[in-house]
Amino acid sequence: MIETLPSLVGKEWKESVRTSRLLIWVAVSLFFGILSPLTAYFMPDILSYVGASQNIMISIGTITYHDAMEQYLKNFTQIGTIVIIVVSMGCVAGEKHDGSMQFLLSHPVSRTAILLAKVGALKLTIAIGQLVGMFCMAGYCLYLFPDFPLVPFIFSNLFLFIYFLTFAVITVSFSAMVNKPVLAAVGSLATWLILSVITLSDRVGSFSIARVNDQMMQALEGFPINWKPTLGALIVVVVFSVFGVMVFSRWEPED
Amino acid sequence: MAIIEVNTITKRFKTVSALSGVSLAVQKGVVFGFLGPNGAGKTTLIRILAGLITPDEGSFRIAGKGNTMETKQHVGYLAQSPRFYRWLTARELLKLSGNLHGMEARHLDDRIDSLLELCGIANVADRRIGGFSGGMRQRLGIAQAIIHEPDVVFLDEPVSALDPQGRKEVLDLIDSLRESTTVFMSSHILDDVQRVCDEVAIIKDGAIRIHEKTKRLLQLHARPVLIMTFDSHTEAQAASDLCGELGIETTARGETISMLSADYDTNQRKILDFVGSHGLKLKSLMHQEATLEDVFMHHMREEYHD
Repeated sequence: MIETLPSLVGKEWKESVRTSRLLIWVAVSLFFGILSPLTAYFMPDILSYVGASQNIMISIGTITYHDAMEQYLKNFTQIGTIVIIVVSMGCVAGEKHDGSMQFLLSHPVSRTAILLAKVGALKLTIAIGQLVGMFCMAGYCLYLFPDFPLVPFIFSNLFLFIYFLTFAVITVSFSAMVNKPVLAAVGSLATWLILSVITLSDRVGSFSIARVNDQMMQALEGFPINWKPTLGALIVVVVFSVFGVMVFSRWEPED
Repeated sequence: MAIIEVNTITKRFKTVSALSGVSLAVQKGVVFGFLGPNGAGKTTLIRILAGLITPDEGSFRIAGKGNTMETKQHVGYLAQSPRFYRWLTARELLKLSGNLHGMEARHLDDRIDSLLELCGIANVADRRIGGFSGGMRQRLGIAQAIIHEPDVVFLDEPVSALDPQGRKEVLDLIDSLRESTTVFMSSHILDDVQRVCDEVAIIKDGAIRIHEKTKRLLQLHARPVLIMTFDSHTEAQAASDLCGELGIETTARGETISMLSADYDTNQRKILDFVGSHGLKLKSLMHQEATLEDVFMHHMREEYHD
């Protein structure tokens, strides 16, 4: 399995570049990395302009990097998750559906290695896009909010990376279980919804990966970090991976 | 010693039985033709032997090895309608295939160049596969199936998407493989099978009905055919209807009808009398050597009547 992994990851990476998956993800990350600090910083101006046109006065407190961070987290976690699901929903189901999976399976390659390679390449794609977004956000924040804590911000992005990676694994696993990309997307979106609803539960809510915002703010402010969402993410990743491998191992090509 | 040994393989898809107790042995170095009507189980058996699907019952051995990952190292496979990654070039796909088979980089580059040339796709080697025609994909499929010089190569309908010139070239290529590789190919084009295959098996309803050397099969089962050509399609149809009344089975194609020479010999007088009395213009009367197609069609008819 190990011998074929570099070739498989190379193939997945090439696919990510040539089918514009990487480009789309980088563009989305860049968008939120630039837009979040700018929107936060210019919000008083925007509101006063809107208010003036309506003959009302809108007053808000002093804008800090917290506001920029809130914008970044809220927008990036929501739109970013949808983009991750869309770019990864067809990575196994699409190949099963169009027949190209037969090519791989006729080689001495284990099905687990195929899934590992797909997750590996997605991990790289997510990391590159997120780094681009993170550096843009950091650059603008440092310029607009001089007290912006750079190192804690970089550390906090690790949690966002785990969050995105968890949804990539969930989508790849669904993609391995079904024959059509759209079904993989529906499964992932449903899981996202369930994990978001779970946050409302007193007993297990603190383990939901949807609490990533709290973790990132804790990391940013230097507070003790609640690791329960990370543990929850790990459990979700393990469970979905096991199911994905089990179902994919039994998959047989049909006409 | 048989390089492919299939022992009572059974495969069901939900309620449909695709293979029921198929056993087969193919000797090393032969080109083996696997024939059968649509849905007979050809593709299912090939997919099982290529390691893509698992049989419900039974077993197989290829080059002395059972159904393991290692077996795939000895096997090449071309799917019926090959689909590859549209965003890769032909050269990149062959490189990926070679790498997955663990080939050494230096040897692989030389092998890719020679195969691109051999399969007639050297001029499109660096073009993305997404723009390939069906024929080009099929040639690329053959190249990737033999890149690692396997002991056995399974080709599912390898010439179905090719034009006559392409068919000839690919059949010549298959013919030349027999020195190093055992070829197991399925095809609907019986002329092609007759041309290159040393052995033939016919499968129907998931069971092997005939397995013989091609020459012997023709000697045993093929019967010469007589072809009558008339002036028009209507006249040919009238003659065909009369033959039907006489209990003779015919195949009508346009202005010609064909029947077994033996049937014609027995009913010669009646047929010619009918032709004469109805003023049908018989343009030619020709005996034709038996072909694999005749054997196949005859066998399928017998199965149908049974």
